[in-house]
Amino acid sequence: MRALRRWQRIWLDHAVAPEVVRLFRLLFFGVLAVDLWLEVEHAPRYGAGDFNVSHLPWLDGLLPVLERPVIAAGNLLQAYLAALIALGAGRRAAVWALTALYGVTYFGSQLDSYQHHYLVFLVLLACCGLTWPRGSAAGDAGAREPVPGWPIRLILAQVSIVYLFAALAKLDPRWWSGAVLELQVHGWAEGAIEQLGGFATAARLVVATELFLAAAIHVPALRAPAAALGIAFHVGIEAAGFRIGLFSYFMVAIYTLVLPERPIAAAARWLGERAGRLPLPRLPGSPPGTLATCAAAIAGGALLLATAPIGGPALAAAALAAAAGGALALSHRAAAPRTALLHLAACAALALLARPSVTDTARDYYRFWGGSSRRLGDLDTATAAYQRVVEVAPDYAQGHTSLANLYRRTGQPERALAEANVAQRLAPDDHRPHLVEAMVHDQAGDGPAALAAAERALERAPGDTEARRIAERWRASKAPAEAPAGGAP
Amino acid sequence: MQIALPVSYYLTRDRSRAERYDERFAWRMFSAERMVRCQPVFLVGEARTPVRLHSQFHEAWVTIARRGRQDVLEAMARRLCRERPGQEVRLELTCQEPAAPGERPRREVLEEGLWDLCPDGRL
Repeated sequence: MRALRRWQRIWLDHAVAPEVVRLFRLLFFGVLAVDLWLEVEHAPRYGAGDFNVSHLPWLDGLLPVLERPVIAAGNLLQAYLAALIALGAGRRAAVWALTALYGVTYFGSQLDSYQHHYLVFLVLLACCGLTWPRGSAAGDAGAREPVPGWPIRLILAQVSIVYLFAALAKLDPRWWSGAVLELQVHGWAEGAIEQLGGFATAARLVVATELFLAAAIHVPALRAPAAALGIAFHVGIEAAGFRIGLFSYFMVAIYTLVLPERPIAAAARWLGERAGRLPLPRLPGSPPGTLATCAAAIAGGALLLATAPIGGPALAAAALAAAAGGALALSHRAAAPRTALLHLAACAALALLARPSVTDTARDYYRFWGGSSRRLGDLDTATAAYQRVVEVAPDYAQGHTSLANLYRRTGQPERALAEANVAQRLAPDDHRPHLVEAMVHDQAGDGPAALAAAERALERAPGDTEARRIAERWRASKAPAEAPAGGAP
Repeated sequence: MQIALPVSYYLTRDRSRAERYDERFAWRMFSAERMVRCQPVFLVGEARTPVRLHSQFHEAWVTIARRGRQDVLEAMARRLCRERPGQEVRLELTCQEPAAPGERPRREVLEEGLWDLCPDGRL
């Protein structure tokens, strides 16, 4: 009985300062919004070739193959929901919706095999049980009651399980010797690890750190050093250049739950007092505010549509985001103006993220779509996708080169030459646009032009076999023509 | 459940090498198995003509197949069988794991293409 009561106390008597939950919400869901937007570029691989394997075999029989437009729209809508939650709106309904959508897209295909995305799903599942404190991340006045902490305990217990098994996986002579770590670390980090005592030492330190963190994040007296070490550990992993997506950023966000509460609460209160004095814009929406709320909802959707240039999926996501924003705001009339404003802010944040000057996601969405269509033999779709690449990113030379090559392969030599010329202007040192030009002239039987372009390509890449083949062929056919008794090539 | 799932990896991984390379849900970040590189070759018909995987499957699936993921290799086999009714589909799978210093990388033939995968679609 005693043990049972103690076990219950661990889970049910635990409470967390609302400021900590708000900070966690801002960081974790903020990182998630960015991650989900970045995932949009991988949407073209879904359904390509009408092939899919889900994470759970029984899902294959139930779900249709998740296709590119569904995944792109789904990711964008989820990014919007994550941004909305990060800013403090939406609450439980938005978290549940986001968790359900995330679960379908993650478990629906093994194309997403990031283990940390599975961790994100489990954290989201725990967040479904969180009682979200009222107010913004800066800490509005009121609502300072501690939040029931069992979901937070659950998240930290899950993190311990991750560390424990990650350490267990490394009890292998190949890891212990440093060989596996050496294979995965490149650049400046190699030198830093040598300074530290070598790869074998670093490999053992990683295991020790993981084991320490697995236990220390639950011990109140060790929380501060555990948080400092944990954050440094994940920042170090990120800086070392491991290809693990935004895993480190998610972990740093989760560590806000390990940091000592008092300084966070004090800082939030300090910020809240000052933010309260700022003349923040308020929607003229109370009461009743329905019209203003709807206008804000639609404006947010329109903003998303205008600045996330991925065609139909963006239209679907923008419409759903506008509907969700409007519904969330109108479902709680007293908070309608605030929710509508936060909906607008979430859309604006995503729109900013989608700008080609900030992320390459929209460009790469079309680039990957075009590339996979080309490899699977669908040249018309590939050409249409690359036309969108150069529209979205007109200064991206490789896009023009690939489009030129597709025009060449689909029998449009004039358009191919025009695109190759643009690419040559944008990337004067790149041999590929010159090679495409040489291939176009070669196919047309224009020897002098093919030879000139091939020689330009060879100047830039002397080892290119295709350029050499074209150049040698036309040089050979030119030689007899120049000789006194020569004939036509 | 969150403990049982990763534990199940350790209980089943010795059944076959291919299962060992499926580390999903086992929290084996940066493990040695993650660094494995496999060469899957599907052979079709009596002439045992190799299939060009990139022309049949998206490169992301080919990358996963090269990590030796059994589910994906079996699904690829089923797909090839469906598209070529009446023909045999066999798999040759060779994988290489990283080695500790002083050891030679272990190269192992996991599937030798001995039998037709079409009847039950299983490795």
